[in-house]
Amino acid sequence: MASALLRAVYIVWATGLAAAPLPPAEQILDKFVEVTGGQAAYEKISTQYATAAIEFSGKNIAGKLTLYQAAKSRSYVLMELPGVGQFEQGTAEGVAWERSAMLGPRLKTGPERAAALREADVQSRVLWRNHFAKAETAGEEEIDGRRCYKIVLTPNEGEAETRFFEVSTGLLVRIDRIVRSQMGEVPAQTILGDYRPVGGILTAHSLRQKTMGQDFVTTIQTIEYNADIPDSRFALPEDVRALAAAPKP
Amino acid sequence: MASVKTLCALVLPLALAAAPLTDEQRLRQVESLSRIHRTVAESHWDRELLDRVGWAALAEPFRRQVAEAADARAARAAMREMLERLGQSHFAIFEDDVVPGGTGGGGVAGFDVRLIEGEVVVTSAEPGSPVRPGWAIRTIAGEPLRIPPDLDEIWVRRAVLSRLSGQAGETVDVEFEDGSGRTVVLAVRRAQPKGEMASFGYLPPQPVWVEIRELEDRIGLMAFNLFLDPVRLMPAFERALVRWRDARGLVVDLRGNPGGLGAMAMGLAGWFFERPGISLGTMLTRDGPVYFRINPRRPAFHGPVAILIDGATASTAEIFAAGLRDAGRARLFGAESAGAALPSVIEKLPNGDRFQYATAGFVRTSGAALEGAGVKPDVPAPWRRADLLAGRDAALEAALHWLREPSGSR
Repeated sequence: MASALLRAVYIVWATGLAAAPLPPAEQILDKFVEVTGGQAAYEKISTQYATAAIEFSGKNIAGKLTLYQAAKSRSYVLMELPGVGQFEQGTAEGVAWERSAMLGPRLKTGPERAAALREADVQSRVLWRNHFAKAETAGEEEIDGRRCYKIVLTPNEGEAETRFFEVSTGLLVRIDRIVRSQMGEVPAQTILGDYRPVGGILTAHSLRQKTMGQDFVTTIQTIEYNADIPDSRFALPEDVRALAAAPKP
Repeated sequence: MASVKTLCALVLPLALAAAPLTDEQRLRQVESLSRIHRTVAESHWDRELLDRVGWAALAEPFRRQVAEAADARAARAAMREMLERLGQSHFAIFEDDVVPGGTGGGGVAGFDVRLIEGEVVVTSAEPGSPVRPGWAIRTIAGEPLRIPPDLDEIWVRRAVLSRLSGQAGETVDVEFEDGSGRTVVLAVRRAQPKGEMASFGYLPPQPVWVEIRELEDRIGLMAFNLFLDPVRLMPAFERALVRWRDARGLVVDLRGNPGGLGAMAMGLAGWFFERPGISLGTMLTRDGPVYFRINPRRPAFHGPVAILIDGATASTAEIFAAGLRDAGRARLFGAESAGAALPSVIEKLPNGDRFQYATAGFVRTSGAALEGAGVKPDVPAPWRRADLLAGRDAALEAALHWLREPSGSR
């Protein structure tokens, strides 16, 4: 009898100590949409235009970035670094590309192309199910003193990425992923912060990316949803189009 | 690798008085030492090397040295000595705006030098200069030139050019020995360096020049002193290579080129390949390998490529030369390169100095390291004083001879 009571007490005590079950990943991802503006607000977004200051921390290297996004995973990003020149990248017509005077034009292929098209989707926050085959809650972690849910998202093509959402606010605070390019695969960590409302959407204005031991900070200066962006903005540059049309080796 | 003391012996023959440190300055020096130590501990890709040199245990003794340093120069010397324990290139401390081998007050002597058979010899001179290739330097500003035996060619060149440079418009007395054993003393007037000033990040501004011209027999020549200023240089390369796409061949003269932006090597290499996937080598980072792959540019240059290298060809310039050679796209002429090829970045220290540190190793496509080894020429044609005195450039001649051969026998 005593042992049965002890067992019962232990079960109650043990149950009381056990962590609350983690919410499913879908719920956490949907909550992020809800706390940052709600599905209806996101669904109204057809284009995005943003300008940002960029800085390689502690290296005295800074420049500016301009981003355009529109439906059908169309995007164009221009990075200008004084002394080094312009770096462009874009997505349109299913082609993901980049080019610069220094390195020339290049088409992205395979998982790199898939990642570029995924990130170019202006509706990717609400339509994440279109891009990721699987979403799993992998646990809880403390990041900079904040409790966060850890979500592992496996895309339809490419390596899984891990996103961390603050438990108390539901906001996305960190993304860990493997960045692919023709130079190889390197782990990259992006820390998001300084959320501010823009057109009814709470939007991160600070993105600090850490990769290969170096810090790269993007500070959004202006952001505009549903800006009037001409289709020509997303036209493939001539040399990129030539590459896309060339027979594959 | 040159030791700090031997390099200083060549660059700074005179002991200059320095102001003692204030308490605040001393604190900044100690903070700088700590920053350097921590940065290397956290970013160096070769943990075995750090263990081998006992990096973790170096912080305290060098912190004490810096804390007790009489002046900023002594503190800096202690920091450099700590970095020297790594025995690698691209770990350096620049005093504010002073870059090793830089132009100091903006004026240069208008001639270039190399260490040839134990002597510092003029290898080229600007038009109008009274100095002649092949002359050996005996004294600068009355100070005899003593070459420490363990100093590499690249450091000798940088140190001597640094001693020759100064305020533009002023003169520096230089004593030469001409080819006949006669002593020639000249008051060499320092002039503005050729090229345009360019910088990147904390790299102090430096003159960048590019020479693009057509030699006889439809052979193009490209020479440039740094892989820097891509906004100006890359379009210039493009224009030349498009214009020369049917040329008989191309000479890329990288002698004396100490490197610069690594991406420029990939960008320039793109003009010499039709197919993608070619790599110039691999960066070894803590996060894994990063390949220096090139993007083929169109229209590609199909002709044979000769690259000239010597002991002062370093870093990105070595990576470019070795990469094109290993991919079977170029033949190298001249002398073994410096073997100082590590990707690096530059940060500012709390004391105001700039700290350059390597963030990765670099290996050729064969897996062989460039650092400490350099790349050997296919056709050795080192600088020789007798050639220079006779007005000959043996490496260029060998390259032109090869380019003029019928393509079938090349």
